[in-house]
Amino acid sequence: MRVLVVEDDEKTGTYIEKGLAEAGCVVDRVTDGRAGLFHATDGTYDVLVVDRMLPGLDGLAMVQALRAAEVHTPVLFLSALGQVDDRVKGLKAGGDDYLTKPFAFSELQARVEALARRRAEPTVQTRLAVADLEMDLIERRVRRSGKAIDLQPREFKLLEFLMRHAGQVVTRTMLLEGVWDYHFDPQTNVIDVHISRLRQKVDKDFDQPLLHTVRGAGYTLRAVS
Amino acid sequence: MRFRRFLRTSAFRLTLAYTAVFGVSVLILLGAIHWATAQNIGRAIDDTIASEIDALAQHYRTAGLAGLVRAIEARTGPQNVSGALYLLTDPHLRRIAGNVTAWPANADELGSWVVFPLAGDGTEAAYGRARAFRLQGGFMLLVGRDTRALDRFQNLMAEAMTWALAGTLVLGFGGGLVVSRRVLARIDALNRGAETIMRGDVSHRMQTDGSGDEFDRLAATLNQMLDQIERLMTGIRTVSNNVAHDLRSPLTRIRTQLEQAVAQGGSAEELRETAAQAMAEADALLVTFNALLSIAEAEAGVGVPSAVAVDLGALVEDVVDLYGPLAEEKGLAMTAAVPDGVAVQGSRELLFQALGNLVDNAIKYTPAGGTIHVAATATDAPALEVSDSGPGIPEADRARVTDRFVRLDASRSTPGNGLGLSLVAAIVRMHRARLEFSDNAPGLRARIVFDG
Repeated sequence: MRVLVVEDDEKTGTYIEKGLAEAGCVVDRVTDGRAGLFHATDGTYDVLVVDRMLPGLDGLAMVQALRAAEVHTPVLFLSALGQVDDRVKGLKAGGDDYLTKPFAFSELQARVEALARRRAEPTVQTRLAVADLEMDLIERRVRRSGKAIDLQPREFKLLEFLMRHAGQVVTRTMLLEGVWDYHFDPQTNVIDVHISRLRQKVDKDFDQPLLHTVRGAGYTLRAVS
Repeated sequence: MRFRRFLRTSAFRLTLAYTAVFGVSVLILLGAIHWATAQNIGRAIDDTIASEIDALAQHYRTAGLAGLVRAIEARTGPQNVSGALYLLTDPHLRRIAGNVTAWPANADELGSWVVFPLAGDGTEAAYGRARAFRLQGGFMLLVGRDTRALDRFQNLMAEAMTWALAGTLVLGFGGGLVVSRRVLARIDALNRGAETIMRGDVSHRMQTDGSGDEFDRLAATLNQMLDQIERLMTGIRTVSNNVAHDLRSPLTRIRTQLEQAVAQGGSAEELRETAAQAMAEADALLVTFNALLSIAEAEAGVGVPSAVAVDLGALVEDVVDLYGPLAEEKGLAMTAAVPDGVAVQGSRELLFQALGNLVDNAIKYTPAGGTIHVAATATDAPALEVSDSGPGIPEADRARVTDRFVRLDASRSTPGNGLGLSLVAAIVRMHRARLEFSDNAPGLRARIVFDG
């Protein structure tokens, strides 16, 4: 996976670059918007990580220019501002996701992977499958090993989100955003309870668990080989 | 030095200006009185003289020269106190009767007024003002008045006016001095108070005398401002103390864990376990910092940027959907009242966080078997309401639970950073709403009322 990091702050930039490289990404890093625009226009990156505040051309303007040039590489905005308003502005300018500093690296990694994956996927899917777990998006039915699993609408949405991100780590914040459409860091175990209920239905009667907790990061849905 | 400083004060300048204006007006007033009086008296004398001439001429016609002489002598007798002057001469201007010694040289024109020097008694310059008249038979009659009385009166008046003016000026200036000194003393007291505070005695307050005048009101307002500043300063000091205190413990724990890992080593699995624990502690720290930043952001401005219509019913539904399982897990019954069409202008995200925090607290503090009711209401103003059957908040503590890091003793054992309600309060303020706590008997009723 190729990632371009556009970040002027030396410490944050190095931190992201090192972390993503260790996670197996090919990382390029530039420190201003103009260079970012120049590098990103050839469209060979899978994900762009762009700081909102940049010298010269700022992050928003850079992404707007990219989108105007028909470059649709997914963009993850980084911002120290973190207000609801800024998030909306970032997404309107053509960003795909938004992360507020300070952040845990696992959060950034999970989001970068999710963005890269989203790009690879066909947009319209009618069926999702992970190991022996199947989800029919039209009939809104879930089966595991052929056995029907009865889910509440919210549980269905939660499982759908996990299955769409199968094999990746999804953080609690990502779940709150993707399933409930609220963007903040839930400070209690409110998401954990939903997960454990889902786990009861999806994993309890089966030998092989699919829904795993990733310590210090979040959850992942995958068949352990 | 004090005097020079006093000369520079606006009070003194004001005094000077007022004294000048006052003096000029008094001067104009007195001048007008003087002029009008002199005019009137002069005219009255002239009228008297004219009528006397008529009367004497009449006398001459009826009683002849002898009668006229008798009349003149009667009038110039000892009763003549008004300073009347008479002179009767033959056609060659030789004196026949009267109290004027000689016909004045300049009284050649008949019927017109003439002013001439009198012999007088030598103590002061004496003038007469008279009119000449020719009688039948060539006799000449001069009737007039000694002007000394009038002059004396006018001099007296001018003198009185000068004294009055001087008195006015002295009173005005002196009064101004006294008033400005008093004003200055009050301002000086305020200045001294401010200097005391600047030197570091922040608990010092301005003196008020209870008179309710503008200086008293100014001092009271300043004192209120100082109270507010002191409260904020104490708040900041408490917050920084608490931040230091609350963050030191987890940092110490992280350090201890890492120290042990370094000192004792262990298998990769054990090291990973230690690192994971340290990470969890660090995450909790980040959460605290993020909460502090969110509160600071929410407190930075009044008003919500890009406010939209937020359906409070839908908000309640979402919160109950998210927190319901958590409540159920704890053995609490959560109910909701979700009316249609209750909406306010604001941020959906922030209001959700605020309501979520209130519900989260209710879940945290209500013992198993209790109930939590979440509602949107619109009786008077739109409101969000969370009521529980928990221990509630003692009335005395209700005002301070929204302060940062405040954790009531009863809640020490439950997890939390003491920032949840601070964030709620900040979000509520941002929406110009009110956060109120009341007794749910038993339990707590928290309400966010949008009546701002």
